[in-house]
Amino acid sequence: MTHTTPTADTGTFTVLARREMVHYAKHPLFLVGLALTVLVCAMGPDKNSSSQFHVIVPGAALGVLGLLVMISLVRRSDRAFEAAGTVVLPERTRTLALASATVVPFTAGIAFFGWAIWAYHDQPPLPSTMPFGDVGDTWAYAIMFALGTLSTVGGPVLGLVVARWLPFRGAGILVAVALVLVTIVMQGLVEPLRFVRVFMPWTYFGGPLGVEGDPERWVIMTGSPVWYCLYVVALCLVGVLLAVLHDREQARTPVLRALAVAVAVALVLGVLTMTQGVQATMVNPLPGPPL
Amino acid sequence: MNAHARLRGVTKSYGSTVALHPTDLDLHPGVTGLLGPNGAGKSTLLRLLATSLTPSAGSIDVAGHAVTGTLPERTEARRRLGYLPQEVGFPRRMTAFGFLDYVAVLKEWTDTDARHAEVRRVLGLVDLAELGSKRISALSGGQRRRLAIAQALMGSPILVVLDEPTTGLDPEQRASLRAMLSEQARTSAVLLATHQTEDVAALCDRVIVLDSGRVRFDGRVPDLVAMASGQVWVGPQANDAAVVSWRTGTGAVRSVGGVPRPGSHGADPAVEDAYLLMRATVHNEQGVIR
Repeated sequence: MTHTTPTADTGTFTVLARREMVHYAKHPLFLVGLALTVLVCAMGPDKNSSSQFHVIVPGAALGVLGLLVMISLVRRSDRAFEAAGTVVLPERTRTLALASATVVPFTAGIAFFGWAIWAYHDQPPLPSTMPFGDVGDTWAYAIMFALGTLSTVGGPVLGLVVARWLPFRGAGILVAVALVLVTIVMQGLVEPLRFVRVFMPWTYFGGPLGVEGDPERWVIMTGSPVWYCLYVVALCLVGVLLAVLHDREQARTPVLRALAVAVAVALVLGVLTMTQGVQATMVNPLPGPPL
Repeated sequence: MNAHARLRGVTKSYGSTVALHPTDLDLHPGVTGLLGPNGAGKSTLLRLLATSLTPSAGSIDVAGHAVTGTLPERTEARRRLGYLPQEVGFPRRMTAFGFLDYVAVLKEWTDTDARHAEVRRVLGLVDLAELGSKRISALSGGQRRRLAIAQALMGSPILVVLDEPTTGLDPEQRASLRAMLSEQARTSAVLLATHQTEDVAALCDRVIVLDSGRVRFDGRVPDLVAMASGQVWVGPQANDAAVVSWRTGTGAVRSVGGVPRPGSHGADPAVEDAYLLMRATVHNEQGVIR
């Protein structure tokens, strides 16, 4: 009998990452989310606002469910690791491979983005909805990308953090419910929170929030969706670094430094989101269409 | 001959509790049995060797690579060892093949053909070749145990550390495992912790008895058995003075230690007899019982 010791090479991570991508793509919850997204998109854009509010579909079906998918994948990887007792690849490599599996929902998110832009042009939103005034199409695209596409990565990354740091059963459901509840509160419905709502990982930038005398009037809230895109990307980076930090066997100082930088960048981008773009709530001069 | 694994002054403490007192060991090719009661420190010793625990003091080398050294050294050691933990929680939705294939990737088998060939080889070794496509949740306890053993044997590691590998296996499977391990032990150091003294008798050429975190015996199996020579009797009456006695299936009473009862005659000792005597001696020294 001969000892066979495979030698480490740069391909190890690629092989593992590819494996995790396949696991993600085959996960029943992801497939359900994907089917839901495809189904809603197939029903066509909204007659008033076109595809702008469809962002909630990938946000919920690929983002929030993605949180649970990722927790399931992390648990599966950890169980395989525990069953083996000892393996060569460290937890950090496994975490990064799992993070790279977000390519799968991101691809779906990109496909959604393509559909949303096509639908936006094929059946444009009514002038009485949004965007309006000085706010143009780039504003709408940025929202579609941040809330529709980036949320498909943000949810799974949050799942990665939860799985690494909250290893108890039910943590995923708990965080998912808390996330949805806080997100509902922070949608700009509450006037005093409108300015700071952009620090949430998912928030609206406008909608039929109404004004006095016209409860269906469309408004655009403060903040810059373009900066918000970068802010959400920075949050995803913070999440990956937090998950990577969990591995106590590897040197943690470089990760802590990178995390500090990422948090600082995210804060700056959050402040820029808040202070750039629309600086006062804009009210559409046209009466809102019936909902 | 260089040892495949070497421990020098290794200790492990959990707070004020010492799980393993300073221990020196060299492990060479062959099967070494590790006997001891629950809580003796067997799993601690195995986990230290498998790099899943860090010793409080001392050094551990596997194939010349310091487990207790830098991370790259520890990684080199990990490339050369296979480990079966005592309790295994599987990813139950994976198939047997999928699980081994995944673990193989974690063990750096990057070439798909070579990896799949190795997975098929170890599945065959544990007689699970036909069940590769079956989900782990659908496997029996014994089949899962064999699956766990299969991952430990992947790549024919230089050091194989097995924590109670025969738990849940039927006699046929145990015999099959013994054959496989004895073959593996021609080139590997195999260390197995067990409560099954018959496995030690049938398979091991060396036995270590651990009790209260200390090595009480380290030597050949016949030498351990010889320690009970002249202290095992079979007779018609119960023997209260013995370390342990029990009525066997034939109706005769087998007693170990103490003094023989009238009408009893000497019997050939087994590993279990020697182990029980040694346990009694340890307890006498510690004043725990008797």
